[in-house]
Amino acid sequence: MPGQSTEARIKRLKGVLNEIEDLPTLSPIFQKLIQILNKQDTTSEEVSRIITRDPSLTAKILQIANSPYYGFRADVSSAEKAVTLLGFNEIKRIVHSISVFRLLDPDNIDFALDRKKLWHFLAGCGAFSSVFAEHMDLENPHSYFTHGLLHCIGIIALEKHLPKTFKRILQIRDQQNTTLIKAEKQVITLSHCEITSWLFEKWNLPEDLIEVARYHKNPFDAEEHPEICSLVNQASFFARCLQMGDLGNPHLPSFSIYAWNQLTIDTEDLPEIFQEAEDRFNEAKQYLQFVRE
Amino acid sequence: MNEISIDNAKPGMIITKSITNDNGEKLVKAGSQLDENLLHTLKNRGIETLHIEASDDALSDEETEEIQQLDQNFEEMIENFGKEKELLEKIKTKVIDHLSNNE
Repeated sequence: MPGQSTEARIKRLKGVLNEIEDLPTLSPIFQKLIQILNKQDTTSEEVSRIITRDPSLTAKILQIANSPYYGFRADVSSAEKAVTLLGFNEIKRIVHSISVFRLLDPDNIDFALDRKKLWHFLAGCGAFSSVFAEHMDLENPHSYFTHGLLHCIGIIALEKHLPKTFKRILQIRDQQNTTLIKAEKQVITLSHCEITSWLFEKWNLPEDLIEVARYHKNPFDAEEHPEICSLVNQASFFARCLQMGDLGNPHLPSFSIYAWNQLTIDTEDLPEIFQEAEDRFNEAKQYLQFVRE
Repeated sequence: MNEISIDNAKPGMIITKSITNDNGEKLVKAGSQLDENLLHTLKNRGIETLHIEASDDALSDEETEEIQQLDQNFEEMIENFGKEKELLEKIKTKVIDHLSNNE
């Protein structure tokens, strides 16, 4: 804020961080699941063992596995069977979608951001991230759904735990017709990117996810994974273009040529990519229904 | 039943509400299909909006507006780009084509 001393800013920043420290984070079971699902040598037995520790998660996964959406013929009666039938990538997407949705706290209506649009935006970013990863021939492309889905959830933490501050941030964004990040920096000296990466560190999430959170807006600053940060940067740009939700800003984010070039994608492939992303987006919306039921 | 601006009306669309002029004379009856001629006539008679059958091909006014907004967003961005203008123009075209055909 103009006229505020650096000292006051830092004090304010510390206050913000301390408040978010009390955030009811992802449950330890979800944290553990996300960690082991990202490891190469995990077995389905390990995964199902952790899932069964959370009865409501187990019930949800069984419900999803038995839904007509997957069309398995036999009854899926145990977590282990579900993990084997669905595969790790599917389990991962379900676990991540459920955990993010729990964080969204959809029953509380007193939020500044439209829940549906927010969810759609995150799901759209996830969809585009995995499709881009496929076209870039990255290994295990489906795993990048998570990077898109989670890349900015620090916004939810901000909104939930500092609702007044967050409303002021939105107000400043709209009044000055500026970006969310610039408005955040004016009010609390840091942005949701830093908050998200800080949360990920606390949750022991993998290094590349932490970098994506921190650098998806300026991928050229990323030290280890500029390519993945670029991927999520473009995923969020195109999710906005294709009207897959938003964060309440009528303007498109500015286009990063650097990030586009990292994708090594031909513009002629875009129609196909758009169609694939729409399909995956619709699948992701399906999870939302499962989680809500 | 969607009410759309005549500027967004296209040949092939089915009129779902009869169109009358200011004097109450019926110009087109409900159920008629639009063609180039009819569209031209309606425009000449000062008709501004019409009701058409909801179809997968037609965009509602709201969707059209969203696309126009997006187009404008892109144009503002393109202005600020130097030699990369062409790339962004291409991307814009692909995005807008997709949105126009898909909704």
